[in-house]
Amino acid sequence: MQFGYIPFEYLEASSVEQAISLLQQHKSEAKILAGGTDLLVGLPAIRPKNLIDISAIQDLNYIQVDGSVSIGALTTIADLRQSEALSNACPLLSRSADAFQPSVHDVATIGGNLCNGSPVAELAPALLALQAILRVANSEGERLIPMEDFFVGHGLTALQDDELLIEVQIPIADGELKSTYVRHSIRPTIDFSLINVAVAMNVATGGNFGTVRIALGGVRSTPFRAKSVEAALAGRPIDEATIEECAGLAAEEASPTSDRHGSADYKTQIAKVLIGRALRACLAPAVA
Amino acid sequence: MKQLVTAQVNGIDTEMYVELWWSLARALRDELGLTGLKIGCDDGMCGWCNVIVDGKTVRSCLVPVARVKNKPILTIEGLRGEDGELHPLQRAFVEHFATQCGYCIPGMILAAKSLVDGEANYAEEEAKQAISGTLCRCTGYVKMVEAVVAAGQPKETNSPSVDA
Repeated sequence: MQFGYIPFEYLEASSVEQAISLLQQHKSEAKILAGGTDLLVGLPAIRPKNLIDISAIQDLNYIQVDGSVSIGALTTIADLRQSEALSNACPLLSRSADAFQPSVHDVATIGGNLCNGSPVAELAPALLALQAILRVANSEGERLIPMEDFFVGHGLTALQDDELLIEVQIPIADGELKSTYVRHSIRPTIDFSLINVAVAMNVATGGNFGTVRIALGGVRSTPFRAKSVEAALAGRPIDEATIEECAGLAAEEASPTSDRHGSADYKTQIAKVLIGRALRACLAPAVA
Repeated sequence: MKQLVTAQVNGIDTEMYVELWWSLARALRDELGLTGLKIGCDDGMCGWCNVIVDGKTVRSCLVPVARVKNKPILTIEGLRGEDGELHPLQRAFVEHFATQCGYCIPGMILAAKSLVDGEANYAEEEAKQAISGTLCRCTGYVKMVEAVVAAGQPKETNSPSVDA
C-alpha cells in the first residue's frame, strides 16, 4: 500500500496562523505536507490521521540576501539552484541543492528536507557548517533554533507538536570562506546520499588551517558537526599528512549502522575518504 | 467522502470524483482511465508516473490530487497533435526502436519533452540528463538517447513517415 491508497484527512492551511491552529487542534495526529516527496513516500510507515497541506501559504518562498541570507521554508530546490544571489553569498548551499534528483526540484522544499530529520538530509551538512539558525512559529509566537540543536534523533527534530518551520537564516562570514559539499550515493542521480560532507573553512594568515567546520551525514542517527576533527585541524599546517590524519579522526566520531546500503565499516571508510576530498577541494586554488 | 476536483486534463475541463487523499496518479488512472502513466515503484524514484502539471514534469504518484485544482495537466495520451500527428519524441522513439516492453515509455517521453520543445540546441549529454531520472529495465537507454537527440533535429524531408 502506498500514498493514494492510504486514507487520511486532507486539510489545507492558507496561512502560518491557520497551520499552527490546525497543529494545535490535532497535535501529534497531524503532519505538515509541503512538497511531499519524503513524507508521502514514507506514508505507509507514518500513517498520519491528518495531513496539513501548507503548499498554498504565500510568502514562505523567498531568498533574501542582505548582510545575511534568509530563506523561506517553502523555497523549492529549483529556486535554491537558480538563485544567483544565493550562489554568490552561499555557494555551499547552492551546491548541496544540486544533489537532489531532478524530478523533485520543483516540488521539494528546504523546510521539508530539514523537518523530515533524515540522517542524510541533503541540505543539513551545509546548514550545519554555515551555523544556520531556524526560525520557527508556534502558538505563542516565534523562536529561533540553532541548526546544531535541530536534529535530535533519526527522523526526529526539536519541533514541538504546534510548531512550523518558517525560515532558515544563514549568517554570512567575514572574510573569505572556502567551502565544498561532497556526497556519495550508489547511483548518482536517483539515490539518497549514503554519506554527505560539507566543509566551510578559512585559511589563517600564516597559511595554516584557520577555522574549519565539518558537517557529516550518514554516519550517525543525525547529521552533525565533527568537532574533534575541526579542533584537530585548527592552526595546523595545510599538508597531506594533516588532512589524512584528521580525516582518519572522522572514523572515531562516526558510528554508522550496517544496513542494506552498506556496512558500518564501508560507511566509515567512505566518510574518511569524503572528508579528505572535501578538504582538498576547499584548498584547491580554483575552488571557492 | 469523495469530492469533485476540476482540472484541465489534456486540454479538456474535467471533473474528477475523488477522495482528497488520493494521489494524482490514482485519480488519472482509476477515475479517468488514463492508464498511460504507470505506477512502478513506491518512492517516486522510477519516473513511470511522470505527468506535466502547469508546465512542470512531476511524479504524479506523489502529488495529492487536491493540488491540481484548476491546473492544466498533460498526460502521454494528450501528447499527439489535434490532427493525430505524433509529437517528435513519439515519432523518434518509434523510428529509433527505443521501446521494448513499453512500460517506462510514457514517463520517459514526458521526462524529455521540455528539452525537445525548448529553445536550445542540445546533444547527447543534455538528452541523457533529461531522461536520467526515469528508469528503464529493458533497453539499456542507448536507443532512447538517440531518439531524444533525433527528436530535436529538424525533420528530414525523406525520412520514412510513421502513421499514427
